Amino acid sequence: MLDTSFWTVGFKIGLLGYAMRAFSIVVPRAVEAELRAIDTRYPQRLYPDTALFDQVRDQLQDPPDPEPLPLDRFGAGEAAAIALARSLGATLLINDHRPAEVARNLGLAVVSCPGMIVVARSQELIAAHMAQAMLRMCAQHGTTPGIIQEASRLLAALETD
Amino acid sequence: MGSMKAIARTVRYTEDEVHEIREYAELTGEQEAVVLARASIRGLRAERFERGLMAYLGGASSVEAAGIAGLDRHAFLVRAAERGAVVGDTEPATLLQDLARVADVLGDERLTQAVSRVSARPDEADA
Repeated sequence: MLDTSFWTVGFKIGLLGYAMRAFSIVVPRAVEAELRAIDTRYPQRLYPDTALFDQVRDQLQDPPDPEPLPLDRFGAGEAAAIALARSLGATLLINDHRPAEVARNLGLAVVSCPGMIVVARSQELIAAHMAQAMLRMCAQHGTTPGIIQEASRLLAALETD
Repeated sequence: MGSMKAIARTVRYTEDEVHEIREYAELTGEQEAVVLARASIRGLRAERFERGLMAYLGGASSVEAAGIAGLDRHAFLVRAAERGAVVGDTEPATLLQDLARVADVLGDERLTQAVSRVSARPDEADA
């Protein structure tokens, strides 16, 4: 189950192709609306992650119709993604910590961008040095040192097979 | 989108500020009012974004922060990422919990073992 935050940040880090390979991704309608929302200040602007979304949309799954009612908190995208992930028992791809916390408390499996890097390395989709480079990009984009360190330890543990 | 009808606003400036405005208007060859209208909206949007970003970094949700910034959530997340401000999880323990669950979901035994190794030695660096 996709949330907008994972798509936007995952695009920056170069993770989306790997996420699409590892998971069959369902896109809630509210997330699709967020990703395709026209920027009212710059109506002609097409953000690069939206351009990619448009290109690969047919490789992503549609949600059921009707979708379950969204949570009554957060924005439309994450509220719909959490509700739908819960309804389908799906893993939630999200990189926004407050809704991720709520999703965990609801018992959902959650994958953030640093987590996806570890998954991609575990499945040999990326080389060890690429995983480290992606983690460095996460750090440059504000991921906390604690998370980076933990992800690095997991990557190191994967190499000790 | 609001109406395109222009509405007049009165703003007071100090002499120094007036001098700076006049100097810049002469430089660009524009009318002072045109320069001021553009600069004030640009400044307002920049200030709103900064406030939204600060709220986001301070723990507000992305949709709340986007509201402060006057943007939709996606546009806010894109701009925040461009500024190097992405707020993912902050607690390292969540990564281990998440990956233990996901390893199970994916049937990824290698990942399960890596999570076990790191969990067993919480304060050691494996590298």
